[in-house]
Amino acid sequence: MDQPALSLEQTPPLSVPLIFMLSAPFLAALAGITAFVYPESFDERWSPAMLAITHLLTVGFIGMVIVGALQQLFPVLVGVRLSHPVFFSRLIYGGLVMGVLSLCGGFLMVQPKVIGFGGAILGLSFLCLLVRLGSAVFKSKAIANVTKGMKLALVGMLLTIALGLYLAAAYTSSDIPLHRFMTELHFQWGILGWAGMLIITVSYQVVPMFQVTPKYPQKMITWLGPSIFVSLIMITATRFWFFLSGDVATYEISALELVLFCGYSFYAIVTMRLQLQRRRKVPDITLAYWRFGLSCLLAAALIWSLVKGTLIDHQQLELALGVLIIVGFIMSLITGMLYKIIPFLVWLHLTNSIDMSARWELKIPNMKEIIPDRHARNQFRLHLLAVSLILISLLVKWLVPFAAGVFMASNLYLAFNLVRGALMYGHTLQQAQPA
Amino acid sequence: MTNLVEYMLAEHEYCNDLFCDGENLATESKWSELKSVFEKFVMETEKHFAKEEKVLFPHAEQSMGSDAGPTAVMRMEHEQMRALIGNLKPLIEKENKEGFLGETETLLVLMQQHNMKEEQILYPMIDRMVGANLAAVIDAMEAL
Repeated sequence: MDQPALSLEQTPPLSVPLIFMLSAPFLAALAGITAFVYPESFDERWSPAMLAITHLLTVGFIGMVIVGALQQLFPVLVGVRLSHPVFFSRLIYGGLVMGVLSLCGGFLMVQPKVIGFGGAILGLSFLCLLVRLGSAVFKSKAIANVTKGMKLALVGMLLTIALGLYLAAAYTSSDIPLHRFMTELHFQWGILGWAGMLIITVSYQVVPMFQVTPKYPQKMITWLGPSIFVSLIMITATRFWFFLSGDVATYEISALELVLFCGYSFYAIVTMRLQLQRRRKVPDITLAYWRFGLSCLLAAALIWSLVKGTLIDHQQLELALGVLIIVGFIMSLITGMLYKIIPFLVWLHLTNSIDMSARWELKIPNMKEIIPDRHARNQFRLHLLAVSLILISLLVKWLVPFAAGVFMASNLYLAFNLVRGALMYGHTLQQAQPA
Repeated sequence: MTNLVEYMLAEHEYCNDLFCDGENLATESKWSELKSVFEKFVMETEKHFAKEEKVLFPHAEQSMGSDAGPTAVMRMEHEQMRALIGNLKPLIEKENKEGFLGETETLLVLMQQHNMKEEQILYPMIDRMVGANLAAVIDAMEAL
């Protein structure tokens, strides 16, 4: 009989996911510092400083956590083992950090060659990950609910990389024309076709399991991901079609984007409804983060319809849309998950190592001792304040440096919580050593 | 005929319900009610573990020709859960809410990632191995 490649025991070393997850809040803080130093970046959506800030958040925070989490969760979710986890983790980590810093530095210093270099390194690092995950997911025999969404997200990842590489080349060489519609597509694929698609797929598992809610409707699991994917494909095809024929495609694109935003709103509403039906009544920081994040997603959908419905001068509204989706929706959901993943991994690795050294009399700190609730709650409040201030500062310009400062503080607080939790691993092991 | 995955899934859900009831009672500081729910949770969890450790896993180990594979990991996680459940008892005696909820948070995540691995990968795999013997296997588990 054909045996599935089962690898339940393949927990990679703690450092594999942790280096990514612990670096993420520092890179987000760097985005805060950039906004603080270049407050005028908020005047224009495609200003170089705004592009630097966006990439520090999307690649530096969102991408980093996703890459770390995928290496941890992949063996469990799709049941396929990844070879040489430490070597590849370090390689990809080095590439991502060097890539994102060069790219953003290049934007800020207006150095086309540095932008190209950073873009190329980033593209290669992501491609390296893509090949590893892609070959695993297509071999997987885990149930289709998980693998199908993963496959779509990986195609989204591939298109994001391809568009990104083209744009980086266009910045570097004057022979390659830079088209704004490709920037739009790069953004949409990265956020809604890759990160968002992964979040939706992972939600199907994570929400019912860890928030103890009823399951998502099977019809939604079957149709939502593919609908979002198909609408993105059609948006891409339409943009290219109208670009080649030289027309402007406002109406057609809006109609397709409507499908996209309806899909995401549907996801938000169903998830919030499931959370209302949860059996567990214990206050939970992850749940608080998710509720806020999903509300931001709904607010973004509302703003999108305002922009398309009224066609007023919408530069600031479009910026608000980006803030709500990146910082409000995706960063909130990811941060909520970090508050579960990191303390659990620290606990798990402590349990495994102390178990082996047979020193059972030592009490292993539980998850809430590794990251105290009080600190997580305070950090959540700071995040709420940061998102509100950033949104207000889009209209009240002099608030930009202040909002940037609070955002930076919120991320440094997050870094403090996560790093302190991770350090408890070493401390506890030291205590466990026989004197 | 009952499906193995569904049969085991229903057990997980029952234990989850008892677990959440216990946690909810702890948040409301209803210690005497918690005591009886907790005892029931421990009993049901041990019963479920026994079904796996004494019937289901040996079946899988026999067909795989090895007991060092995924079932070994599952057995180890059972021990880790037993240790955490063991921590809970004195905390109920002392009516230590913060300590209790800290341990249950950890137990919940451990338990759910364990269930996820079983439901996604292990049970479907054992289901394929057991094949036509399904009724006998379920009878053996019921007989415990």
